Amino acid sequence: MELNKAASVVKKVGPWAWWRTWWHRQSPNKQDRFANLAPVAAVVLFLAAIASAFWYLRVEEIEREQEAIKRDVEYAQQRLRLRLLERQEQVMRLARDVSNKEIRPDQFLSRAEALVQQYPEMMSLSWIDDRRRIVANQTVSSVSPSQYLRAGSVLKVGETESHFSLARDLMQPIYGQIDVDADKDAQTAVLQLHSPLSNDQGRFSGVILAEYTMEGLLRYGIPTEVLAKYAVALQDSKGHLLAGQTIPGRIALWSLLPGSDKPNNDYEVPVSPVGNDLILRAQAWRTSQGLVGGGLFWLVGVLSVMTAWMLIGNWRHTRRRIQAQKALVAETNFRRAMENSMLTGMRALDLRGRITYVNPAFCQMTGWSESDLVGAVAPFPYWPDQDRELLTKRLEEEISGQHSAGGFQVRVKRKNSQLFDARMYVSPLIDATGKQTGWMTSMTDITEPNRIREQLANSHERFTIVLEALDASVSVAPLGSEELLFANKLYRLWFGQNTVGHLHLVQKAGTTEATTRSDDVDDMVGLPTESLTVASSENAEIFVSELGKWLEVRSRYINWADGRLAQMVIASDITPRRQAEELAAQQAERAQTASRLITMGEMASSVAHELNQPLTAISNYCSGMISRIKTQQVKEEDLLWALDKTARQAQRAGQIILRIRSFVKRSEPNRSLSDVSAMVSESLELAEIEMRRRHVRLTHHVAARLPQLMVDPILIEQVLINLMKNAAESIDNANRPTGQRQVELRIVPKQIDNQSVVEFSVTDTGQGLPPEDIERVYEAFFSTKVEGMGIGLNLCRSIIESHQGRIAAENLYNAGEVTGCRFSFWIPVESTLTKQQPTGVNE
Amino acid sequence: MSLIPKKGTVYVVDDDEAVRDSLQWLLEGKDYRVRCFDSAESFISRYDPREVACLIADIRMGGMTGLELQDRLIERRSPLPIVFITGHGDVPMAVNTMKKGAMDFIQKPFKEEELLGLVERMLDEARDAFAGYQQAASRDALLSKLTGREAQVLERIVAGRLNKQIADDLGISIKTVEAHRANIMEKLNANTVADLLKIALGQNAPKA
Repeated sequence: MELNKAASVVKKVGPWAWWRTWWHRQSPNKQDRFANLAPVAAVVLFLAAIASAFWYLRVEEIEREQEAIKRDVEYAQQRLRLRLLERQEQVMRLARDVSNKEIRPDQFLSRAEALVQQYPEMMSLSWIDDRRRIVANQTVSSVSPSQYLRAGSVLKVGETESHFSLARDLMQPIYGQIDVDADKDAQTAVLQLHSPLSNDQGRFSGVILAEYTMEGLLRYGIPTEVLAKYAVALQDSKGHLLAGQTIPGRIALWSLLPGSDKPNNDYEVPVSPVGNDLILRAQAWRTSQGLVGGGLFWLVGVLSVMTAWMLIGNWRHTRRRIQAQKALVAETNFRRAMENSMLTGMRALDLRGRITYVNPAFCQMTGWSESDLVGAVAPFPYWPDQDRELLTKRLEEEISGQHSAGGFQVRVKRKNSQLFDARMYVSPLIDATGKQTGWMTSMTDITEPNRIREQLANSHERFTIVLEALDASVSVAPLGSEELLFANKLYRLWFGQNTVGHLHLVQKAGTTEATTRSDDVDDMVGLPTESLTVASSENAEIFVSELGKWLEVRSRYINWADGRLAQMVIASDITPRRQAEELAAQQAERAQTASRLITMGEMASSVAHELNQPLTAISNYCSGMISRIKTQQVKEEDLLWALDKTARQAQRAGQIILRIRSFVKRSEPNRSLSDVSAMVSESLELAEIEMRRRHVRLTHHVAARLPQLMVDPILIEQVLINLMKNAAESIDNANRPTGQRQVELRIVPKQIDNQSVVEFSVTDTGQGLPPEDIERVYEAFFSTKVEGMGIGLNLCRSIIESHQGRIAAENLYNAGEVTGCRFSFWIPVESTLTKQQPTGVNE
Repeated sequence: MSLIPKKGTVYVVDDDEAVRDSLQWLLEGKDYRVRCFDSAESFISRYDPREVACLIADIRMGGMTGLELQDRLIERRSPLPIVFITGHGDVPMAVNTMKKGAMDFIQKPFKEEELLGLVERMLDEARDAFAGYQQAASRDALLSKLTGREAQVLERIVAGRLNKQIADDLGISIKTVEAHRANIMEKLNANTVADLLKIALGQNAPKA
């Protein structure tokens, strides 16, 4: 469609319109380029036209010159020929006369003299007979004597002689040349004409030799206007210069110019009567005309180059200008974008107080459009009515230059009559020449900052309320200073307004840290290592006697608002928790004690039996002594023996009671490095009571050199006794025959989960545990025994686990039949040693 | 002490050395011969039934228990009277022993009079048992002299059969029965049928 239209336009209006449309179709960049290139192209075209015109003229001129030279040379040759033919005629007439013997040698001489005199080109005339003897000779006097052909002498063998022979043989006049180079005698180039003589019989009888000087021929044979116009030369067939002159050395210069690649400015033509041996050559001088043409050409060329150079220079300058313009446009766009994106409103006033400029932010802020504002004078539309007077005063101050550097706060009315707070800053507007042209005012909407400030104040208040309401005391003090940076209400309540309490807490927390860190994992578990330095809080539980409270104190280093390193201490009251913990500990202890009492209760009959033995023995001894004393049949030594025995039995009974008492009574938790074998023998003593009563054989194996364990020995004894008692009961209940009533206690060191432990195992030959109960035996109040309370194993487990150990039970089978049961527990060596030791030492 | 004749032998079996030793001391003070054993096994191996004796044994012992010891003695038809020493919780077991013929049980620690009374009673019984045992042994010796036919005839005489009825039962003549009867009377050293009956029925011979 568009194309068709364009085509039709082209058809209608012609190439000019097409050019226009083409031009408009180009991009501005291309247009620029074309506009830049066109002058250069024009100059180049002009130069080319000039050059071609010059070349054409040159060719024309050379051609014309060629024609002229040709014509002139032909003419000169014609004249030379005619002159030569004329002389030949005269010589031949003389020769005919000599042949006819009409003249004698003296007559010959006179005629010859006349000829030589008349024709300056003629150098000499000689009569030479058939024997080559010179009969007579007439020579111009100016010729050097060496060239004289003396009368009476014979022709010497040479060129002359060969020409002579040729003339003799042909019986025709012969032209020949004597070269200066060839004949040493010849001083000038000479043209010889041998005109043969014939006797009566028509036989050869000699020649008349006419010698012309080439110089003479040239000077007198060629018309003077030709000689004047051209450099005329006579040359032999080999190009040797015989006479005249040539123009050497200018060919090179001419070849540089256009159209002069061939030096066409000369012309050669053979002189006809002589033949090809003599060539007439003319060269045009033409010096002045070449110089003028060349100079013009060069002038035009230099001017064109200058023009082109200036155009290129101009073009480059334009390009720089365009770049500068582009940069300016970019800068302007950037500035405009900046201006538009700026949130600060800008307003320019001229010196009379009229608005000359507002930026979009200003328009957006006020709600008035640019056209509303530019050109307006006070009162401006955005002035609130009630502030008009004040603002007028302000404006006057502004214009008179009395403005404060910190700006001033005003109220601004939006177009929709809404008011907002703004801060304005005024600065003078200086133009490029340094003259003040007005005032630039920037306006910032400070409603939002005001709101934020308010919010900040609110949040600070909330924060303070929270901190104040916290049931922990929070205090911050810089390191090494008495200054209290922050303290909340509880802190003030507890410690007052100074740092004494803070420092006290820090000090106490620091010293007791080691003892309170008894957990095997600290508070930093789970934190990434890099955050440790940041959150290196310290936890400590301390008792503050002034308050009568247990406090959990957490302290950490923080960067205070002013950049100082400060220590924040948060102390929370944990007295109730502490009390609860203590209560729980007491209860656990009581439970253990109670359990031991229960164990003892369950073992009561065994213990009674055990006690009965010494008591029975004592009773018997006493009765025996009494009856003996009554019958007076006793010897003193027998009596002493019996008394000794009695005393021993009393001690035995006392020991049993002591052991039971120590087992039941001792209830203070007391972890210490304990000897395994001591614990075992202690528990074996008690267990043996039960074993004896139930007729169970108890064997034990304690590995040698067992490490000491950090345990509460009475608790471990309790577990051992419990397990052994259970084993004995199980055997009793299974009614095993005597040979199968065995309990074995083994204590061996082991490696479990990469830690060295001591394993205690009690193996019985009883009825085992019902498989469905094997997992439940540790449950509280679960028992497989009729009279059991379900306390024992549950407590055993909690005792073992409180020592970081584990307890396990398994049935022993022999061909599918339960042959016994094995209870085992282990207690780690290392953990109890390394982790518990500090605690033990401190206590 | 040796001058005073011993009242009898008391065996003491107890695994507790002190109890054993003190019992010995007590009983020896009352002029009993006391022999102590630390286990039922060693007692069984050394026990002489021909002695007038009694046994005091602990009911709970390592190895063979008192109950087992009783069973073994019953197997041997030993007339040895037994008293078991029991602990506090062993009363049901002690009752069980009494059903099997134990004399009594005493609980530790025991009173002297009680123990001595029991020992005295046991030894009395042991003496009776010993006499009976001796009679039975002599009767057995007499009866073992009879031939098979004579034993058959004696059996029927004791059953109260007449000679004629015996002859019918055995298919022999009255004369033969009478001859056997005379032989029996002679062999058993009996003068009357009543004597014969006493011997045959195993009653103790009348005390002197």
